[in-house]
Amino acid sequence: MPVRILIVDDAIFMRSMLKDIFQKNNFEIAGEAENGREAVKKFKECHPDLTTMDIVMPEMNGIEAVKEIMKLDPNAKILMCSALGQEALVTESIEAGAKDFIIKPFSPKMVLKVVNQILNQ
Amino acid sequence: MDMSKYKGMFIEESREHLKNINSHILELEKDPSNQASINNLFREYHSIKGMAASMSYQPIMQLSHSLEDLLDVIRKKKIEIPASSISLIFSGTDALEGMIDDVSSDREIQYPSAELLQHIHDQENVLKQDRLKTTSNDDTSVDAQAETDSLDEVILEAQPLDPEEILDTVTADSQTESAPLSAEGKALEKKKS
Repeated sequence: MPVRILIVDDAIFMRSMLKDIFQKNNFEIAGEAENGREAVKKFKECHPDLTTMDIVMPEMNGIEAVKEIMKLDPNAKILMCSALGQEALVTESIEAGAKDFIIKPFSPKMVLKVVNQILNQ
Repeated sequence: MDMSKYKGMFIEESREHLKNINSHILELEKDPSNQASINNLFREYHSIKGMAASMSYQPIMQLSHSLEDLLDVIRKKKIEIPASSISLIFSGTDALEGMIDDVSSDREIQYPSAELLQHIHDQENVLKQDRLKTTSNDDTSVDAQAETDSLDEVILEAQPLDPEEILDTVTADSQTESAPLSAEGKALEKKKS
């Protein structure tokens, strides 16, 4: 069965890029969300194998979403997708339970490498 | 990765952000203490920066990053946004609009002027150092307002930086922050445990 991924980012642009990377490499897109609140809801619905999570989003940010998801499933595998200049928030996300992070701009190779590392942990 | 297919998406979404930015600026002109608008403005520039970085549109990334940093100081300090900052944000947003038009017209994207970047950077530093009027009423607000009023003078008196130095700094920052990631993640995890 293909690995199922939930993509969380407020930018359609970023979600499309990630979706293309995953689909071209035989992953299945379990769902998409454009803010943290929606991410938590979608996580409950689709139980993805891995979630990619943006940090700065409206309504509920990525860190709050990680905390909520970890309450639902302490084994959840979450990869933070950050932009430049958010190092403190990345640290906070890892402390909240995220497994690793990548910084935009990311290459498909980098995304796949980190995703596979997390899945194989 | 062929990024050309994302160009249209970038233009459309960036223009949407610029439209939102203009609305937030108008709200802040009416109420400079509106923290929701300040946070929203920060997020709009942050989103543009992330997309521009993915498209390797360096000039757009550079300017949106500067504006984001300025807004970050204001939102973290929970201060009223000074009129001088609004003016810089207007100028920066105008320049960003021009850059998005460059992308849309397949022209070479014009770098922001070194003067504009310098003013934004100076303003950010002044705000970092100053105790300005907070959005809550407290005993220090009167003195702090005096500091706010003098902000324009401080900016005008600031010594110009060498434009090349600014570009070098931005480039160096980008390189540092783009360093291998997974290793950093592991380091953070080790720190955590």
